[in-house]
Amino acid sequence: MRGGRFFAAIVAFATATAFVTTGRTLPEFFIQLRDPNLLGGGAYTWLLHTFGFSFVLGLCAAITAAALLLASWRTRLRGASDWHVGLAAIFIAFCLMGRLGVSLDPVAWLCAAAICLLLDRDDVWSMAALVGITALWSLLQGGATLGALLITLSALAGLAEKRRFDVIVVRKLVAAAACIAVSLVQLHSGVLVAYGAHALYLDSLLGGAQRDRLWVGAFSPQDLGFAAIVVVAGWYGIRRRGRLADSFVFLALLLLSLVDARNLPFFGIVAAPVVADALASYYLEKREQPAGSLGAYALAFAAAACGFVALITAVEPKTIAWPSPAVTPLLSSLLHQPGRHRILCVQPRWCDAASSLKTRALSVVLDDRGGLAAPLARRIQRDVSDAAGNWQEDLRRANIDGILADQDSRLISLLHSDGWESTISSGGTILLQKLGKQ
Amino acid sequence: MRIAWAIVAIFGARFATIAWHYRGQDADLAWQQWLGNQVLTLHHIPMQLGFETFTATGSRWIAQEWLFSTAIAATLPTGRFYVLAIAVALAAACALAVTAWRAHRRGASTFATVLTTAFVGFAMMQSFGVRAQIFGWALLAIIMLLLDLESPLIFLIIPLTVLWANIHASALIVPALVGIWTLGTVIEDRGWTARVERNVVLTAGTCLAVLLTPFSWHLPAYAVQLQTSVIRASISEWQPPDITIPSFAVGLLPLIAMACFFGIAAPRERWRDGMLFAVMTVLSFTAIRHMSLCALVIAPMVAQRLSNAIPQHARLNVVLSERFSEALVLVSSAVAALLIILTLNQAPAVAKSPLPQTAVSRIAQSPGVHKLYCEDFAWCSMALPYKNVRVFLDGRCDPFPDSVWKAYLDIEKVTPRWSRALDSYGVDTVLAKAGRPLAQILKSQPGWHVFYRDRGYVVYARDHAASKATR
Repeated sequence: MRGGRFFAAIVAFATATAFVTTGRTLPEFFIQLRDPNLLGGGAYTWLLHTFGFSFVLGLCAAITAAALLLASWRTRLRGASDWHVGLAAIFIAFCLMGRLGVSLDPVAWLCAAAICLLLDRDDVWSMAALVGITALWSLLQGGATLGALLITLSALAGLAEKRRFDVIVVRKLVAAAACIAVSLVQLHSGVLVAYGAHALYLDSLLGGAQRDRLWVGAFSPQDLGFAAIVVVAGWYGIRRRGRLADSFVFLALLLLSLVDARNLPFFGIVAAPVVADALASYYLEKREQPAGSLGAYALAFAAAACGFVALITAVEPKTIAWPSPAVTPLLSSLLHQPGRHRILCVQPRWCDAASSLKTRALSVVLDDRGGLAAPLARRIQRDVSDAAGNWQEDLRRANIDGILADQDSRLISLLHSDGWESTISSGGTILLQKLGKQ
Repeated sequence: MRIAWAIVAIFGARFATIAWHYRGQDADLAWQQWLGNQVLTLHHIPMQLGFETFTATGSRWIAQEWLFSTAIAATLPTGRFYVLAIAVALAAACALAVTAWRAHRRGASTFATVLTTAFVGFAMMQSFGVRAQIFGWALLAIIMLLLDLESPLIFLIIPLTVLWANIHASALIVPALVGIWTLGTVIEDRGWTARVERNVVLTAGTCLAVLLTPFSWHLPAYAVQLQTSVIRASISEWQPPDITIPSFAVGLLPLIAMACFFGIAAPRERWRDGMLFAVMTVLSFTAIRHMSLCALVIAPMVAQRLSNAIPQHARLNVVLSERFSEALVLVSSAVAALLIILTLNQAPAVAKSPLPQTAVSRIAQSPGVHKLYCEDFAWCSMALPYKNVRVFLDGRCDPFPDSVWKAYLDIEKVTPRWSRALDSYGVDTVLAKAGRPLAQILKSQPGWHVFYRDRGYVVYARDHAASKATR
């Protein structure tokens, strides 16, 4: 049984290594860096310019590993054996696979893992810490609506279980109210509700918005992670340990994962410890409580993470430049042409890279933030991408003079017959421009 | 249990209404009727594509729906399609009723049985139609009941599998399910017991049963090959279910969520149930068409666990067993069923045909032989009876080679290769939905003119000179 002790650490290390090996940047990172609501964007910009991309890559990998280990620790605190903790870590790692890449997401994963850990307690300090973590998450990454949702569901589950307002229930409800308030506080944003919906990726259901779905295309590791958690939950039952809060947050995150696959890492972090615990509860003779304190483990991990980041920074090329998406040269080419340009990307995510160009000469119809965009922009995006309705008239009215499309897009033939031409291509993506506009 | 029958009746009414109007809704009926006519007149099943297509003549064809197609050919031209429609609606209702009975047999409470039966009904709605696989649903429900019964009747599964395999290739799921059941029995019994021996024989029997079709081993081979076929990407039923699909959101997903909450296999280590849940749930995530199969298999398990979890005093059985309450529910259900029939009969989406029958017949009426491309390949099924129309691709879809599919997709998606694909196959007539990208591009394409147009569809034909040049 001793061999199982290191399972979670091994999985966390493997995930961090996969992170570094991937070495990519999520397109959303370009938006996050420029988002005035996020302090994390400013902090990462400073880190990129001071220590280089490799440092940030290593840091993201270390934070991801920390989130994974924290979720594993939560599993361990529930009395699961090392083998079951390892199983939870594997499930989480699979759920993270689709989102490995430099972005502010690992910060959110760490905050979510910490919140879940604290939700299993009900003392005053834990409640205060919940509010603090939510506030920090809100300022750093902007996705704290999810944290507030977890805390609110947990508080409501407590109320449903006890059916009266005792001290603990009131304490959780107050903490939940405070978390809702701080999660919606953004530095400059006036559209709080839309921002909250975007943080949960609920806006991806809006027509024209970017949406990532599970089970589309080839069978992927994240599909496997999702299926594994659902199957184990269906086999053993999440109500097994009699904690209604587990069921509430599990089902909420299950739904959110089906809404948009970008929520899947959170589902893994929240649900894997619950299902591993349900599984472990059938093997009473193997139940164990963790030895040592969280502080000591955290210190050991911090030391290991520092070494890991230092090693990555030393080994990887020292550069402040990060891998840019294939579409960046296409967008940059427009900057060499006079005047202002308005671009529509068939995949809204491709337009995220426009944020990195830091120019007012280039504007996009829609990027990843579908929920924050005007309904008109979403309609234009949807109609043009599908070549439906009066899409050509929409292009004229919205002064769109450039379209990024994939090389098999129907728009290429249709636009060619309407006086547009393909000007440059990169990585299977083509920039189409209206003739006579250059 | 009688209240569960009321739920079955409500869904049955809906299924019957949809089936009644289905004739004008699904172009696949056209090729099935054509196939059935071939079987009835030639007295054998076609094994390859003929001259009705100009892209894949001679390609091997596993006409797995031959029995259902024969039934269509026997009823549709004689105005007795309603017989088949009623049979299909009854098959769907039978699947629901048997599933409810399975739940009842497992000791589920009235509330749990009714709730899960309603979820199964919703999960079935997405794929329901006058289609061969609906009979498969009924057979699956009966097979699952026989497995639950664990009596000598269990061997009836073998002839039922033979019947299913001759109706639809989805019968290939039976050996897999029975095999999993057997494996679960081995684990539960922890040894070679009489029950295990019986189930092993049954598994072997179902494996042989799927070979008892006119296609023998080619049917399983076809089913395996279909798993990696490029056609899956073009067929909506093969796409993964999404939360925006009502049948998933209010049908299958609640069942899976309840299973996750209560746990299917614990606490008594029900390996058979657990393994069936795992396999069917994962399968349902991969394709819309598997949703109903999954719901039919797992619903009784969920009902059983739901009932075990609710204390006796908190159950609704006491209220529902009162004569007045029961009468109220039954009368309400009858009214609901009647309203469903009345409202659906008047709904334009159901009562009006969206198919381009007129456009196809106009093409056939014009002189000469036409090489027809249809934007939706299923529409071309309606052209099969016409000797002077040869199609690019039709609703039979499976036997067409990958190269034809890729060319079809190039044209349908108007990729930069669309024009070359049309030219290389010598297509001279294109049927497209008005306003869609293909119609838009052909409008501005030299060498093509509008041959026919109505409110929904447009037919483009090559100009005579351009047509000659292409040939």
